Amino acid sequence: MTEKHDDKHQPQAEGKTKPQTEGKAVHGADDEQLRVNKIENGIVLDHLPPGSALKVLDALGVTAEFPGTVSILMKSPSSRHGLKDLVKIEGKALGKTELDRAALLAPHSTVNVIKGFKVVEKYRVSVADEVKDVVRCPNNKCVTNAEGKSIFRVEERNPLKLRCAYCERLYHAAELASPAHAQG
Amino acid sequence: MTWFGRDLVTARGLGRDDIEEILREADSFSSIAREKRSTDTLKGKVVATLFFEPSTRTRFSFQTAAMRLGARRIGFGDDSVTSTVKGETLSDTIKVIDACADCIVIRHPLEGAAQAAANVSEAPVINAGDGANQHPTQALLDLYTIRKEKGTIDGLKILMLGDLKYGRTVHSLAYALSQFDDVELLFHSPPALRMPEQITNELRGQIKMRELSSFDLSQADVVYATRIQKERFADPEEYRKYSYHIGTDELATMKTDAILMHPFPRVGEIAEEVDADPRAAYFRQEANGICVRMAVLNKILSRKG
Ligand SMILES: [Zn+2]
Repeated sequence: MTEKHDDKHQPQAEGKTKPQTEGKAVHGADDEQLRVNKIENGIVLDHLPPGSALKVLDALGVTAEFPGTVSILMKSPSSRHGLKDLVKIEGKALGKTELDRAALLAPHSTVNVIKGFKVVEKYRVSVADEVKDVVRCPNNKCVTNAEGKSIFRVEERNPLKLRCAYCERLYHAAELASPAHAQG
Repeated sequence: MTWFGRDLVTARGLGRDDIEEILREADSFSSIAREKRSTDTLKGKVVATLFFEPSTRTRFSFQTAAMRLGARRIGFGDDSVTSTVKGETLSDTIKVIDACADCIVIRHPLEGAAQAAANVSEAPVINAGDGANQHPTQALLDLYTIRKEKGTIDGLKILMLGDLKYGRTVHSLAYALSQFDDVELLFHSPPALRMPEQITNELRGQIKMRELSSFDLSQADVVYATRIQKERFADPEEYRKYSYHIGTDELATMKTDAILMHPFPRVGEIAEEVDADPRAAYFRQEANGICVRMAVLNKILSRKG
């Protein structure tokens, strides 16, 4: 299976593009380049909530220093649910903690694992009923910020809200996923 | 749910049956507490009171309750904390105490500390206050006081005054009151110290709630006054503007059969001249803490309850 998205003709931001050579209009390859780079190895996160892509990258720990190519597509019409965001990250594998954190922001997204330009694995992220040791509690008086591991329990799915099992405060998932609360 | 062996960490999730069981038990201990007698129902048991922040009243109340039931007590509080457990993790301290005690009463400045203690302790843990979060035995003694003074809890209008944002007693009490029928909560506080939205959101649909725009004591069956700490305001002017005072004039606006409660300490919210009025229930409320904590300890520690 090759990558195919239902968003071909939409404006898109790219993390890195090759400079266009002045006066040398080459069709085909550059057209392709202007859309979205295929990635050789890495991941594609699809069906992110519209406007969430930058926060998802933060949650994944992908910053300006990240060495691989990053492509971001925001607010692209999706055949399934209105608008969506999409990110492609070259050379990135996902750890469980990073994935759990991203899932808090984008609970219905899909992860495509790409190897040799092919999708070798595709799955939906999920938020477990109990999110343990993934994010810090934003309450700085919470005991988990002094010692022990954080535990949040899902209290509502839509919108996603979780309650700290210790200080009992309730949070929107997006508040928890902010990088300021990254565990460790 | 049976009380035997159970942790009492939060008033959230306490059902009416759980609460009624404690209130009944407290009634059965009230004359022992009042007459300063004791029983031996918890003879041979050891109750640990671990106070990581000072609160002489609550600590003495728990210790008195344990001793009137015939239990022995160990623990620390106030100044001794620093030398005993400084530098040690909470979970290490709890594990050490757990080997000694049949029950652990904990007061801690961090929110969720009692839950953290309960997670590592075999012995049941009773939360005696964790930061701004919960103070469930205070809620139980408040309910006991309301029932005793008013004859019922159902159908009452209860006005909460003061710092409703950081005041854990009003949080625990609001949750506990939501288990009763047809209670209405009225709130009046400085704008910056309102009852947290997450609590009102959670309780909406379970209990009627209303914000009073003015300092109006006339509608309430129970006026529950709490202190406003000066430190909550950056500007002392603000504090002056929003601090309140109940003297004889304000008392005169209350219903004749209403009661005035306060979880203590008071810092000028209620004038001493009010103390002699029969509606001033706060010293009786404070004293009720002993029989209510006897009830909690006995329910949790004795199999026959
Ligand atoms: Zn917390």
